[in-house]
Amino acid sequence: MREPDLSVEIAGISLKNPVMTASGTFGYGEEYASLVQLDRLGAVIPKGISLEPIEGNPPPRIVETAAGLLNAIGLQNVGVESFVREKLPFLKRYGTPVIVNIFGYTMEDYVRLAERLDDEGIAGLEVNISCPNVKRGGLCFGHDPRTAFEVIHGVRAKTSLPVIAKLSPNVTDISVLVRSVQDAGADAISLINTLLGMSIDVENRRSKLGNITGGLSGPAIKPVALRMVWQARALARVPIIGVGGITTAADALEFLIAGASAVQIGTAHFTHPRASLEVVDGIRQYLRTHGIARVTEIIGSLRNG
Amino acid sequence: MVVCPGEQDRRSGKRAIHQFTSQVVGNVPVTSSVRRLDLLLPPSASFEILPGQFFMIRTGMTLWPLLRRPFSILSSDPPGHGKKRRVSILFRVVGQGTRLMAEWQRGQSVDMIGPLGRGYTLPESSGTVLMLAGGLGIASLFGLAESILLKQGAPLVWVCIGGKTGEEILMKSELEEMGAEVEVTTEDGSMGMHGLLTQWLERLDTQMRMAALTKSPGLAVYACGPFEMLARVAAITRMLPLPCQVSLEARMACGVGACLGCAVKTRQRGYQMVCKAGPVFDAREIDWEATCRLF
Ligand SMILES: Cc1cc2nc3c(=O)[nH]c(=O)nc-3n(C[C@H](O)[C@H](O)[C@H](O)COP(=O)(O)OP(=O)(O)OC[C@H]3O[C@@H](n4cnc5c(N)ncnc54)[C@H](O)[C@@H]3O)c2cc1C
Ligand SMILES: Cc1cc2nc3c(=O)[nH]c(=O)nc-3n(C[C@H](O)[C@H](O)[C@H](O)COP(=O)(O)O)c2cc1C
Ligand code: FES
Repeated sequence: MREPDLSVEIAGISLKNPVMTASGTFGYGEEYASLVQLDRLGAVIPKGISLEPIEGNPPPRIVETAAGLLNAIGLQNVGVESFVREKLPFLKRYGTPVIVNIFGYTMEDYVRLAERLDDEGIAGLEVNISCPNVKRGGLCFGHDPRTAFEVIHGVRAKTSLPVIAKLSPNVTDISVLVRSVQDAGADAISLINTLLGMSIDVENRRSKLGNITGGLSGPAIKPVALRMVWQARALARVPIIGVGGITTAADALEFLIAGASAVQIGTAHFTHPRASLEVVDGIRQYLRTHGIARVTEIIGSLRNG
Repeated sequence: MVVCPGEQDRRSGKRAIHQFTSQVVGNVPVTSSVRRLDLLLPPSASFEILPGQFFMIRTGMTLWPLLRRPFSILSSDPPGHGKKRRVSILFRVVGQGTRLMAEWQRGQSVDMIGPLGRGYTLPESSGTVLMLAGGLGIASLFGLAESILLKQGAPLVWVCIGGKTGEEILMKSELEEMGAEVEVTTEDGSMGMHGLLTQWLERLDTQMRMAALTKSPGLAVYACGPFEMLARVAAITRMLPLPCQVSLEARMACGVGACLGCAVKTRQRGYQMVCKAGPVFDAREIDWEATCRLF
């Protein structure tokens, strides 16, 4: 049998395999470059970028929980100008598509970021409207279907790049948001960002995080992410990218079968820097074992689903 | 498995980190809560290890603990030791990860990433060195003392180790054998001076000796220990004034600068990552007040 074909196309971006790095868990790529062959990844999504550099939240910023990680980094990043000047050239050397994750505090921020990144040779924009650690007036953009629509619509109007909306799981009904970003012109949807969580040190009765609450990621959130991907798939006309607790190829396959056209690996990198590559190899092995020629054949193949 | 610094590092121009499997050759208690772990690196591990660097160690194969744990490198054989290159760490059993490590037997395979972080900047070869180790802080400083005494041959390495009790004073005889001058302080008075290490530092005779030493070129202070101790050491050395390097701890997820979790506040450069910009910092660089409030 010929080698299985792992390539997928998401929002017009051709990927050699459906495995990407999740924003915020792979730095700007260079941090892991001595352990991970970046040119073997489907795509690299660096740490979320804002217009101006952001300092981030006071420490402690991370705490481990059962099968998971709570983080309150506060979107610390170098800002778009330094990113383009100092980080992007390194990433582009590998020929792997770079999808830039962006976020802002105002609608205007998002639009200006989209304009600024239009001609930098990147493959697409992932628009983070879902970070639990950054709020505007106490609410994320991604919690309200109307502001979610406006942000994605504004970005869509100002860029020629594919636009991927990254949604928050911290909502009552994910379908409302899926519909609204899709209507706003999103070319794909990433699901999910972290779940809002908390952890307390009972000795001193303080939160274990400087920001009090944080975002939960890792294996602990996989069932929630998988359910949301499956729900979203039922009504979305655009591809879904599955994120949340994926550590192994078996995890990734669950997301593909549930309807994700690609997956992102996040927290798993911290334990297994080469997790993404092992997932690629494991998917290939699964396809071989099952005599499946193309990975696209298993996407959304859930039986009785 | 060793991932060698191949093409990726030539392209990035950055110092390589490595993931490899080492083997436990010793795991013995040195006190009721601290153990010494000796590991044999794989033959292909030809990387350099600098004093003050650390490893991220995978303590178990299940989801708890999920993350690797950071440990200072107590001592290591130089590269080129063939099949027998050893590294050692000292660890205190505090939670689930270190409890699992305490059970490791000879022959156990250990998945490690490193060496990580920027180590200590070595003193000028003629300079006198003062090292201040609070408790297990000696794990990070011991390799530095070894480097200076055995390789560099400095005139004097003066080490003060502080602990709650005498049982907590580690590596004293090893340091003395290497030629270091060792002082001890204990909070219960069971060994050495009764009190805190920082009180020893504040004492008149210490200060006088320091003043005399300051006249010799290049006196350098190195410190590793609990946060409050380091903050006080930083204040004292700043007043004198003496150059001081401190090694900090922070909660870490990745250990390589990717997650931005291990931030510490600096005076000039905002938040810096302990795993990458540190763990060793110039004491004057840290915004102790901002950081103290938060720890
Ligand atoms: C650069 C560096 C070097 C270190 N060197 C040593 C050493 O040589 N010997 C030694 O005994 N300990 C050292 N530590 C502390 C050691 O990493 C922790 O004691 C260990 O992670 C505890 O793990 P646990 O699972 O047993 O504890 P748990 O309490 O179950 O750990 C829970 C979480 O807290 C983190 N954590 C707990 N205590 C610390 C701490 N003091 N510093 C940072 N993270 C912590 C763990 O990594 C984990 O994510 C070092 C820490 C750092 C950052
Ligand atoms: C330390 C950390 C930082 C993150 N930073 C970002 C970010 O900057 N932008 C973003 O859209 N998501 C960010 N995320 C969310 C991840 O991209 C991902 O959606 C989430 O962690 C779930 O996947 P996982 O369980 O595989 O980690 C971050 C997650 C972690 C753990
Ligand atoms: S531990 Fe991840 S940046 Fe330092």
